[in-house]
Amino acid sequence: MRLSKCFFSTFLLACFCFFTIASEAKAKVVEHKFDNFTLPDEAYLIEYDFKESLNLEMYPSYMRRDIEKLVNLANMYLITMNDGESYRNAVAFTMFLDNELLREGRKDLTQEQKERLRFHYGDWQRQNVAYAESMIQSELDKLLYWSTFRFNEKNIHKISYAADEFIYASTLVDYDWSGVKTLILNGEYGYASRGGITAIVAGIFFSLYFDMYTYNVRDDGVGILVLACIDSEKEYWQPIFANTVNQRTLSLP
Amino acid sequence: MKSFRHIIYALLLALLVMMPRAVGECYVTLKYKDVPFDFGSLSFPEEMYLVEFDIDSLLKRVEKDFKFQKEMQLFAQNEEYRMFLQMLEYLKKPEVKEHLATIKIYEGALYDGKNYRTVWFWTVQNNKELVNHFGSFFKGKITEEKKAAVLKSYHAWQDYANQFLLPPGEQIDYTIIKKASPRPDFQARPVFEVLDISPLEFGTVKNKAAWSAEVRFVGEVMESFIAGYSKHYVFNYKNKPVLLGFMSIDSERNFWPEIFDNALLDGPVKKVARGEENHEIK
Repeated sequence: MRLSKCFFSTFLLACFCFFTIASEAKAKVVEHKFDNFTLPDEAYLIEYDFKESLNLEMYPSYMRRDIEKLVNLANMYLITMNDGESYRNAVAFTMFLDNELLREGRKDLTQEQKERLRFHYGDWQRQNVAYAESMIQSELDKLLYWSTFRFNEKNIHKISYAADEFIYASTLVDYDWSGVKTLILNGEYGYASRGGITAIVAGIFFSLYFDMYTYNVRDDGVGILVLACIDSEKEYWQPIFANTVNQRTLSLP
Repeated sequence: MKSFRHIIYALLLALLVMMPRAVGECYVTLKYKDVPFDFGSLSFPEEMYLVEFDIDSLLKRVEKDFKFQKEMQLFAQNEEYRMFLQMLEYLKKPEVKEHLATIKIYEGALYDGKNYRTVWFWTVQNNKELVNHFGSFFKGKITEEKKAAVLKSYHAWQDYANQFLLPPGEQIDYTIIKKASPRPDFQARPVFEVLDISPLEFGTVKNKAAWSAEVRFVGEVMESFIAGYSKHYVFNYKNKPVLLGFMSIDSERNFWPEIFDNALLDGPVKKVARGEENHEIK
């Protein structure tokens, strides 16, 4: 009797261990130029290196330097996943904005100077976030107020490309922005923001969902990770996007 | 007896919890609007955004841009630009124009209570009446002869499309992170694979024969896979055939067919699979 009880409990424990291991989703770590991010193992990924793929000779000489600088550490990824029913696509964009002062004058700076710079940089960033938040909010409100778009138009609008005004005419239909949240990303302070934008540009209607992360990269500059998908697939991509960076929410007083 | 009552309570509670969710999730519209097209009006949900792209003005604009670029020598003009401009000039000729069908492109968008969904659709309308042999398919009701003839040509097309069918054993290799080639060859033939082809569907538009078919496909765009869904309807309008087709992304394939079936067709459609050709059409 004791043996069977023991056997039963061992069997249960083994089952529990097996299911725990089996349910652990495998993750794929995508290494890029300055950092990495995580995606499920089933994700099919294709990487676009802007620096390699750009034909700089195509651009006028005065633009080349700026373009090269901009795309130096930028990457784009097209992600495809199949949930068993249908294929879904998303885009990831990574960019590194290097802080030239910290980068070039690193050897000459003392530890104290470095600390001071970090403090000022953090202060500047915090102020800017607050300013950007209020500015974006007021601009979006204005746009929504002037928006002439209505869903229940009786007939079809006809979009003509004869005049330039139609190409650049845009209407904001809807937006949803979470604001900026402070997080701990990869063990350091970072900022996260998510939101959706629905607009009509040159007659073309689109609705996109974004997940954005900004964080400090080895004190050299700021790393940016933008993940985007279309609005109808956002329920599917939201948990995947949330697990891309090693994050935990920071409980501020 | 007590436990039975508990089960009933639990079921009622589950129903109460699930009902608002079910109502919120499914798309409910009570109002429809009649949207005029060249071949009559279609009834779409009132909240639907619809826009038509003026192809003539777009082509004029592209031509103007190309000519401007050539004058300013902004980009190297290659063979494709020259051929495109030649093609535009050929299409402008009045003797060519009268033989062409009228093509119109539209975009539609709808909020289903949770998400915005987008669809692209197009209509191709023949300007001339078809000769008797082809025209007879679209006149009057569907007979056994017409059905057999259409199915024969549809199956021939299906056999052709099966060449592009993704073999069941062949799957996308998810384990690798592929790096895009630094200079992608945009002139290379795009990779196109068919995932699924539906059987031919029989319906009626204003009591006249209408045929429809749907396809799921994967296209390789910029070396990445993008899956889509498309459905086409062919029907008769004043003895001239009209084709209406729409395309959406793969994950919205359960949403749009219902909207377009309601807008265009008279009643429920009848699917006919291969080997079931002798079913009666109602």
